[in-house]
Amino acid sequence: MIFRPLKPAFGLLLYFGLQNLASAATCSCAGVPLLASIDTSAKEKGQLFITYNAENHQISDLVSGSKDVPDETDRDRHSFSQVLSASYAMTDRWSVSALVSYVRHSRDIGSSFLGKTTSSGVGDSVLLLRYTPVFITPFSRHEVSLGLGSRIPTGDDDYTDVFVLSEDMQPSTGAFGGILWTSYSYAFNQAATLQFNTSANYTYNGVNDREYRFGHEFNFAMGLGHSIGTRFSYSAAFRYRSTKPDRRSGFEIPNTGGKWVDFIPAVSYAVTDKLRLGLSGRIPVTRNLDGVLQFTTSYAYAFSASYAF
Amino acid sequence: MTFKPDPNYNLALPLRTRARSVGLLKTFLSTTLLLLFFLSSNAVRAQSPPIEVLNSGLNDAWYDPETSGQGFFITVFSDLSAVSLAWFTYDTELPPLDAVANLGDPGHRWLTAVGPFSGNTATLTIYVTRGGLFNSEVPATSTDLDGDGTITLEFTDCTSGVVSYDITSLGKSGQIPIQRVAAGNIPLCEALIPQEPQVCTRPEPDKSHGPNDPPITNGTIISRRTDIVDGGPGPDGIPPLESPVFTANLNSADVGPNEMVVGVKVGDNIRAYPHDIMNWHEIVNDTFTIDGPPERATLSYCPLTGSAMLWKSFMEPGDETFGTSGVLYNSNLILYDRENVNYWSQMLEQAVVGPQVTRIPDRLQVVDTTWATWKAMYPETELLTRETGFSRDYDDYPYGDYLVTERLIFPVNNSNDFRLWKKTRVLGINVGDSSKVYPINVFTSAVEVINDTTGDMQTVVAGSSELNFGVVFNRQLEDCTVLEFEAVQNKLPVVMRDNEGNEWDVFGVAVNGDRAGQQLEKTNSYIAFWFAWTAFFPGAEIHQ
Repeated sequence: MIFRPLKPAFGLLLYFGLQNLASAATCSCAGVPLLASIDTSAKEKGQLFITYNAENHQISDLVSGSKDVPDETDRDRHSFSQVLSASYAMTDRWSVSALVSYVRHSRDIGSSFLGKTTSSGVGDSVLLLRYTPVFITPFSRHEVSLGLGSRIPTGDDDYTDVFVLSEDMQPSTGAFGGILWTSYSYAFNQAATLQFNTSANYTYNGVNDREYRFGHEFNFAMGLGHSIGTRFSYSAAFRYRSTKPDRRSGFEIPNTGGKWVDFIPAVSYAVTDKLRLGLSGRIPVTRNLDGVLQFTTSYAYAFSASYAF
Repeated sequence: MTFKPDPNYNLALPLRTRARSVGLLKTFLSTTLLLLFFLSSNAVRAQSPPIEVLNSGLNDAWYDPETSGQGFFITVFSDLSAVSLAWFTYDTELPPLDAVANLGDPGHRWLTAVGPFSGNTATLTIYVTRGGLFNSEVPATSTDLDGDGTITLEFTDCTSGVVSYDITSLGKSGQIPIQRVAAGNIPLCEALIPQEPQVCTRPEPDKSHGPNDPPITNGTIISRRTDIVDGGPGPDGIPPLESPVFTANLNSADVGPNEMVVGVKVGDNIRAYPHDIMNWHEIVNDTFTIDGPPERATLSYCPLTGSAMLWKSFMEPGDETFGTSGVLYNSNLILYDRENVNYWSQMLEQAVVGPQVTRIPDRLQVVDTTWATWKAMYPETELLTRETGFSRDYDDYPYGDYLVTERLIFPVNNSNDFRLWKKTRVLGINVGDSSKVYPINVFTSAVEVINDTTGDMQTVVAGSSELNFGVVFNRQLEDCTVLEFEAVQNKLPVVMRDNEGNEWDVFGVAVNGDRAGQQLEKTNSYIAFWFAWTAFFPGAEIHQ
């Protein structure tokens, strides 16, 4: 007898996992939460998910190390990203996911005589192969997944306003990257309505044609997810994120990189058996950033819609 | 006896050997002129500047070699604009063989002429004096005041002229080309020629940006606009200081004696801007009182290239300030002006993108040195305080280990020039296609002064490794005088003394001596890190 992956876990995994893997975009990074949508993976052979995810990421906190610093320049910096992803389960254990993104960055320094700077365009894409050797069933409380993927610079990395904009304002990183991913979930009950989830991923960033390399990034998250009935679920998690400083021509860029801990709440609601909508947020808890001054995440919020075929 | 003329000296005096012409005067002349010949150290020069106005340097004995044995004594009275001429010559016919004279030759004649001159020409009236005796008051001489004719005397230069005579009483006229018997007065004559204002060939300070001079394209002076990179903070993301606050407290704990400051002296305004503050703001839009109403000027300091500039504002009141553009060229600050939004390369010192591309700012001198040195130079200085209105930790350096490593943050041209360590502070000067740097740490501990040349500009460099400063000026003055300098020790801000005895301060101003108050011309020079200088001015010579 073969047990299929437990469907009720879908909602929890969708929104909890989404936030677990969301990449923060900081001032020093064009990072866009590409992995967010791709985490909505198909887990049953032949299953196909199409997910749309939109996130608004406000990056206006000025921080010196771990200390908040008033920003007298009245900066308003945010990124709005839209990601369309597809995930297809080839078997109950193997699935493949792909996504494309479209990004809009905005930078407005209130004290400046010059106007707002914006950029937009196709961003990076991601291709991820996932293997789930152990999954939650009525007779198994554990689930383990492993993933291997690549970040593909499909977008524009030399967007020009008056001049070519800085890397953090480019829609795309302009460089390939490698992704290692893993997760573990534990179901507290047979129906798996309450789960403990943890995940980790590592992204190795390549060098773009301007010899710029975004800092390699490590994320680790853990939290709880609970579903009420078959339609509504919510989760809460903490995520630790660490990035190395960015580099240009091999040399570190000052005031890039650091460590963050964010609180990530999420809710979701299954409108139908196939369509689920969700909202999530990202709230900084603590951070300790490299260098003496950085702009970083103030908050982020996301909307998602996922359709299962 | 015949005296052979020396063709090299044009001093031909073959006295005629005619028996009748041998007389006292001729003997006198031959003796005198021969003496002049031997005493004269200079030949009559072939080349002499044209003479516009007769001068007393023409006072001399003149003659025509073709009629040697007679000649002219000419005296120019410059104050009276008059000329006196004495023409010793002979009668128109030889006297009878039995004619005798008690003194001299019976055929000898003197003519005198007097008259005014204008320019290089004198018009003289010839007078013949009659009835006198040797060294005697009686009988009284008589002179026909109407004259016996006219002489026109014209000189083209200090060595030659023409006597045109018209002796009406004889009905004779003619021209006699004349030259000096001896050359001794020629230098005086030439010295008295009014000098044209000398056209100085000294090079002007190069108003362009030097050898790395790419074509102007599409309103951009930098060859590839993509060479200008966005640093990330965005325009004014590194906030300029608009209302700087200064203190006269020289013992401020905010700046240590070895910390670097940018010192400026504009009129009576003497101010120091610590690097620690400039690292975070890069621009101070400041106000100075010079003469009259306050004037705006912008001090900029690029922490990545270690270069400081002070530009006088040229813009209309209201928007006469600069901002940080957030972009860089060769890792160097690009400012933008808030009036017309031109983008200005700090180290190229001109607008490189925008509606007024290639425009040059009005540059003022700065002295980049330590606080201790600046205080010693100008104890009355004011110091920029940390009351900036911004929450910055000015004790922190924003770029990590940047100052002590080879690390660069942004791409630069000519980055493989390893003749010096990349962050070496150099005093650089650029003149046309020539560029030279003086590493600050190579100066002697005491003030060192170098009389040098860069391109076709003669320069004077003053610097000290211990005092940690360096300045360079054009040592050729507007009147083309080229001064030679030597170092002055222990007398800051005076750092050098010239060969005329004037002493000059670190801003190139003569503080005493005959030239007190004069200022040596500023040059296209400033202190920067070596990598930046060679990025902008490849091939710069390094002073050893």
